Amino acid sequence: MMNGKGSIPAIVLTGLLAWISPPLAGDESQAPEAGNPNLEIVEGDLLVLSGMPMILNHEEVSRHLTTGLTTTFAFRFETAAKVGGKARGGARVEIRYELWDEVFHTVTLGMDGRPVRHQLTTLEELHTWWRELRVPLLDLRARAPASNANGSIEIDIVPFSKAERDDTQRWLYDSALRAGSTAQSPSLEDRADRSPTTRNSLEQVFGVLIATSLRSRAVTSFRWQAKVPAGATTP
Amino acid sequence: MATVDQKYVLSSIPQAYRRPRRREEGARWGLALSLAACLFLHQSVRGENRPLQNQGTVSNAQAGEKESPPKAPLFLIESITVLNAERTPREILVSESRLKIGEAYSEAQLRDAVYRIVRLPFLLDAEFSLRKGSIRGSYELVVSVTETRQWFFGADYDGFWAENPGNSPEYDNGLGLLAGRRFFLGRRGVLSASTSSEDGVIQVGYTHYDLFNRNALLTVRAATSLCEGFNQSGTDVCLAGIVDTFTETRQSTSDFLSFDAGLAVPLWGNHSLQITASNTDSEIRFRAPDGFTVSQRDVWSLGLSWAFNSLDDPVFPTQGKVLITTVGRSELREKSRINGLPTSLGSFTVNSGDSSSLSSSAQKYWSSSRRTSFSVRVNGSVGHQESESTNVFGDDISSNTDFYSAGLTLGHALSLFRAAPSKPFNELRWENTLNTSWRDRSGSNSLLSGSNAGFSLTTGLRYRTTWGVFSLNLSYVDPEI
Repeated sequence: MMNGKGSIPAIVLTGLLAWISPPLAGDESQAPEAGNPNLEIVEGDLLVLSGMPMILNHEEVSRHLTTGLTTTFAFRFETAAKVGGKARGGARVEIRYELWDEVFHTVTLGMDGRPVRHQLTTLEELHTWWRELRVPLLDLRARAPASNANGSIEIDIVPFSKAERDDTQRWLYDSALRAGSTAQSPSLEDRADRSPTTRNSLEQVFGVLIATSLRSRAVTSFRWQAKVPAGATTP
Repeated sequence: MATVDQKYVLSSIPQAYRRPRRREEGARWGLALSLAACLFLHQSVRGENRPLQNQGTVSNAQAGEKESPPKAPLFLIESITVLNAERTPREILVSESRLKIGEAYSEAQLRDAVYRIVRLPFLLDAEFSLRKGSIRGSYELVVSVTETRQWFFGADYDGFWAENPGNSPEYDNGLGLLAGRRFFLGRRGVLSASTSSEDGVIQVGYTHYDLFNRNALLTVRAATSLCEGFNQSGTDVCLAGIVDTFTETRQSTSDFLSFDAGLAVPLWGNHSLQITASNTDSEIRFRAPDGFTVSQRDVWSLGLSWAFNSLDDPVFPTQGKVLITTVGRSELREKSRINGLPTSLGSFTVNSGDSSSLSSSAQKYWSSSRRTSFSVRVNGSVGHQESESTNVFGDDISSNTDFYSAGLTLGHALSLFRAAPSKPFNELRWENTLNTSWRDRSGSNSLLSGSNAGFSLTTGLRYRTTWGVFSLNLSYVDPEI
């Protein structure tokens, strides 16, 4: 029999291994050659991600894009707690290549809770759409990070659509889609047509839940750092 | 380019293919209904494999145009192609996917199917993709798998502290080693043989998949320790070459011959009905003050279970649920020879007992981040035991006992390393578990009555490669557990 004290190093070793372990190899990549995305503020109350790096060419991503099944891009945004308090946001983009029609169907669901759908006929169009994609990550009325705060942006690439993961999420997703479909101006560009005060608060809740609550094992991930632009202040 | 409405796709599918065979499901469901305790649990997972309904259209979204919410697309599977399966027969993979050629499935159903394939013990990973079928709207499903090696190994080091009233906690440890090999027999059979260091167990098992072309699974297994028996120094030598020795914390050794058989019949989606039977004939040697007590024990058990399993991985799950409800019956016959008693007393005791039980467990996994996952498991059982025994004085004693148990287990796992999909498979996780349990027995024999509760806390590392699973665990155990 061993003395209990003799095994304390084993526990220390276990904890140490966990603490110093490297990030998941193959599960997380820094941004490829295309550089960092940008953060901008739209209408004074929405933090939007733009200038998307071209990760669609990444081997693990491009392999999934043409499977004929949905590939989900789960976005997460977070600022450090020590600078103006922690702010979290997220979004989700789904891409599915319809083999028979030879078109890419995309759905973008950001923190504004409004799904935006596109149909793209070529890979080049998809790449162009991705570069020009603007993803609402954070509703600044709910939580505004300090200006110039450093934020981390992560994208997990997950096979299959996360929209139909279970009943609850399906209900949330459908609710958000319904909210989006009844709006006359569903796109981010048309937000100026609507007053923020008339925006459905439930829609916001749905958006937050859908964009941030879906976690799954990613085939690969990307992470960047970006500064929150000036003007992001709590009302 | 014009889009194709999914209605067009469905219109090209024969009516019989549009939905699962409801009549068969109804009959199977009737069997499941007989397990009344399952109903509540079933409600919690019913939505995960809903029949294909209210689905099947994809709208062409135009900016500013009113539309109904898009429904999940369906994929009519015309054929299934398997890639990268050097040893695993295609028939096994197709059977375990539970997908039928000619039927249409949503992505959620395909995702469940790929998880069912991943849970096979001789696979590490699987992916689905689609190709165009021969008619518009139909698809060829391509299943790409990553196999384990035919030889498999395992090593588990378990160290634990146990409370020792009045003294400092005592530490004990054990190392279990496993080695075996799998053989694929024909298109649907898998034979496996393995040996493990614990008690020198050697086991041989055979599993037949897709029984009667119904996706059912039959497995039989024989295991034995094949030990020579103990000597007076308390050392036992087994066929596997293992020397088993009594220690202060190990007061008994045993050798046994056991047979198990199991039949799993899929119901729908991730639900299945399982029937198990086992017989274990063992000789157990207990350390006694004057020599050893030797018990010959024969145990039969039967079980009928309803199970739901939607885990994304059998070894390192990060999401999904496992629900199992079992009705069980077991019979025990035991005759013990006690050495060193006065000649005025008999040297044998006889015990027999029958017990019936109903047990349920529910476990859920979810991820909180890319690397972190949590799990919670609740379990409970109720049962009744009737036993009769004859002691060394020749007295016959009978007792009836009701027993209850419940438990709660909380788990946390942090993925420390996972190889990129293009690299050879290996993964390392740090796992922590808090287990609490409570038991109560009440009946005509006060010696057997009473309740206890306890807990254990475990931390450990688990590593998986194409060769097998290796783990290191350290636990603190409350002695009452």
